[in-house]
Amino acid sequence: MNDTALKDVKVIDLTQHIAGPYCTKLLADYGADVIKVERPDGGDPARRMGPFPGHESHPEKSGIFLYLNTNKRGITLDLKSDAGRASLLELVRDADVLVESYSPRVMPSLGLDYQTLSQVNPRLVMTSVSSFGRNGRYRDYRASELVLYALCGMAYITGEYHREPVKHGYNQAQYLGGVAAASGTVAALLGLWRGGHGQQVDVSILECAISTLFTTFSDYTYAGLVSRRQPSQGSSLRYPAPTKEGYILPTPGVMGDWATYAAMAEVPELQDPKFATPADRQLHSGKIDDLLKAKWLEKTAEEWFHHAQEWRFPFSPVNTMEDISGSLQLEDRGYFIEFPHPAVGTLRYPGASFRMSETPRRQAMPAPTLGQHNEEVVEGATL
Amino acid sequence: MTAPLPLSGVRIIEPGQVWALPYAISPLAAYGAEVIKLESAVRPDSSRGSPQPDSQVGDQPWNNGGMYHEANRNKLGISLDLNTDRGKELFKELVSVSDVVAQNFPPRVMRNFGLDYPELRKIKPDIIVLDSTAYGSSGPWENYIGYGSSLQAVTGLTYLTGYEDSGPVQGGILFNDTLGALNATYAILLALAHRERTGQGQWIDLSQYEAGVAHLGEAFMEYEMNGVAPTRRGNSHPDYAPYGLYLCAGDDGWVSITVTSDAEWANFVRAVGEAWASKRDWETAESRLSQRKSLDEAIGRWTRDKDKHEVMHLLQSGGVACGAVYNTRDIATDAHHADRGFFEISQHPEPVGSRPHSAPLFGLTGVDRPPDRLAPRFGEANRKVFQELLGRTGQEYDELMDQQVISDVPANPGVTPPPDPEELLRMGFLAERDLEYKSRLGI
Repeated sequence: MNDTALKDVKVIDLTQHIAGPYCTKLLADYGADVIKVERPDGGDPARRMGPFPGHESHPEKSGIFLYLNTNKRGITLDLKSDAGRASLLELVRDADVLVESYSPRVMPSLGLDYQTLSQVNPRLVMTSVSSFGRNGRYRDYRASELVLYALCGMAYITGEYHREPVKHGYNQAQYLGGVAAASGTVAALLGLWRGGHGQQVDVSILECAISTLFTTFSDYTYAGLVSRRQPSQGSSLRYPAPTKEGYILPTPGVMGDWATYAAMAEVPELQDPKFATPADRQLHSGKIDDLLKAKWLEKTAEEWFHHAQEWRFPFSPVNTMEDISGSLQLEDRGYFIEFPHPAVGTLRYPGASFRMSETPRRQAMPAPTLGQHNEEVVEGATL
Repeated sequence: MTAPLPLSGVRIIEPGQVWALPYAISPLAAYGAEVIKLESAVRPDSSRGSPQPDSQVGDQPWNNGGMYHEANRNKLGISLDLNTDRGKELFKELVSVSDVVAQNFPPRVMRNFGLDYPELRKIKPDIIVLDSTAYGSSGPWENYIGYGSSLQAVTGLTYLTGYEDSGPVQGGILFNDTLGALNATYAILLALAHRERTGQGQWIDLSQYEAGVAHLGEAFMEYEMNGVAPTRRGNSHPDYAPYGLYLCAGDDGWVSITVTSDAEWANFVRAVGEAWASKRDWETAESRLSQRKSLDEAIGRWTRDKDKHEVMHLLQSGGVACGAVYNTRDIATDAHHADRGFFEISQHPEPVGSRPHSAPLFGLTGVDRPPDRLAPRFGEANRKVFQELLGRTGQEYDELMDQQVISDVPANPGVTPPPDPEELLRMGFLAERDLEYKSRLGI
């Protein structure tokens, strides 16, 4: 039986919604003993977010909650009561890590700021993940996924030229914040184990989302160029193109040379010298579109994908969740995991984002029902 | 009291390209790891050349690209031709004194060199090797290649992005490279944590396809629970209204407003302070959702002659989640980021000069992170690594240079002249060419 990377690391999890729980899921999946603390009246708000089986809301059946809280034990505490705070401090005394995702004002207002907690446990690593970070003038501003997508600059460059900006589907900014918070937590633990001491880790979800801009951000800071949603000319190389069946993303890539691309696509007219450099192609993008868009309709997305990959071009099909569910590549690698949960039965879930040869992701334990481990954890604390 | 940098004394070899791997290693370098970035003269990191300062291709353009400097500060840079036997030998010697090898070639490349994990662990039993690939190091697609754009499509994100009445949309440029980078950082830190406590190294097989699907967990669960593949819904939310973007004054100015509770709606009504907003019909979440269209129109009439920044600060002061739709200029000049020191200015030799770069995405508040060192010029640390670290004599070093096993100059710089910005502007690819950008950035 293999070890886990975070074996014996005890984490008190005061997070809710998406970013914080994804952070503690990543810690739990790789071996940490995560105790998720929820409020007694309803628990994590993610329990009220969909998807639900049959679209019927139920606090133990939320697909997002079930996914984000695997391998955690769950207890309930009312942190607004003295007794609740006292129990929390007891837990903190024996913990290695506390992760919280409240608005930065909340922990200090509960008397649970880092200074107080570090007096109880000087070796504590406290990770705070918030929309705008622990300081700065927008610290107390409110956010949602859409607001973060607006402020991170990604919405402005996404969408059709003449239409409103559009965000990525689902909750991409939240997930990025969760991963960065997990990294910060383990970096701080590593520092501690290598002779350092406890400390607070500060992650701003907004900054994580901004980091996805990299090319366009440097275009401004190095050349004053402000990117925007692109006109449709040249879209045959950059954007999903309809094929005989499904959409293909016909990326030429940065490595492949243009003549080979033209040969792969079986469009000899593209070898005209006027298309020779990337700059030329941008200037003549309308003509390229006319030639390619008709061509893509001759094969299915699946056929173009394999054909282009044989030529070493990074084409990819525009997959739906149904396609992903049936993906032969994912099946061959055993990506999806399947396990029973008392309220929803056996379902498949996305598995590990990466494989570790000596410390693989743990066998999944289902997300806790509200207060499921109250007795076990309280008894464990008093033993 | 500040602690030592958590990664000090850790040596990482990075045969990495473009963004997904170099950006993964960049916070580790910032927090103390000694990172040796390894390139070949024939195929240097293709991010080196873009974008060029002021869109002018100057002297040694491969040392001047903005994206390269964003992802490669605090690293040492060497060049080594792994196609040669001596290059492979030197690589193995380097591995024998290192802790981590992190690379993002397709799986066949390091295998063909005889430098994959099974070989490297013979040289250094506790080595940690991260292979970051598009589709993973096994399976029918193992040798398929993908960039950030490709991964966005194959992971389902492209299909789920876009307007309700139109086709799938690519978001941004190479979004999934950053997604892969953040996951790779975490994987390496986990492996270092395990090695710290047990002395054991290991192999990490990171498939960016799998990492991307993990970030769409709830979309997958929707399909798994109800058997229907979810689709695009623009900027709207299934449970809340208002939740969208509204046109403001100025050129292409927009603001996002999202109200997710009745209390927040009351805040909105109070902050707007106009009669139209206090309509009784809109007091409950259900009624706002069912009258979404008329609600959006009314809010749009209110925002359309107002500045996007003013709307944001007005509504946020009143307790409403609201954010202007920022372009890159807005981000680079925003006061909140300045308050937090998110962008730090580094001084480079001309023609780069002083430029802002972003701080690590996780702030360790208990350590003093030293000021950034500049990203390495091509082959800058060759002498330091091959002579000082691996003990080659000056004569041996010169031989390696003569045989082009190592090099100070890329044989194939791969820097093509950028398109003329004025032409891009005319064609609509840019919102603006800001000639005052340096003074705005204080550089």
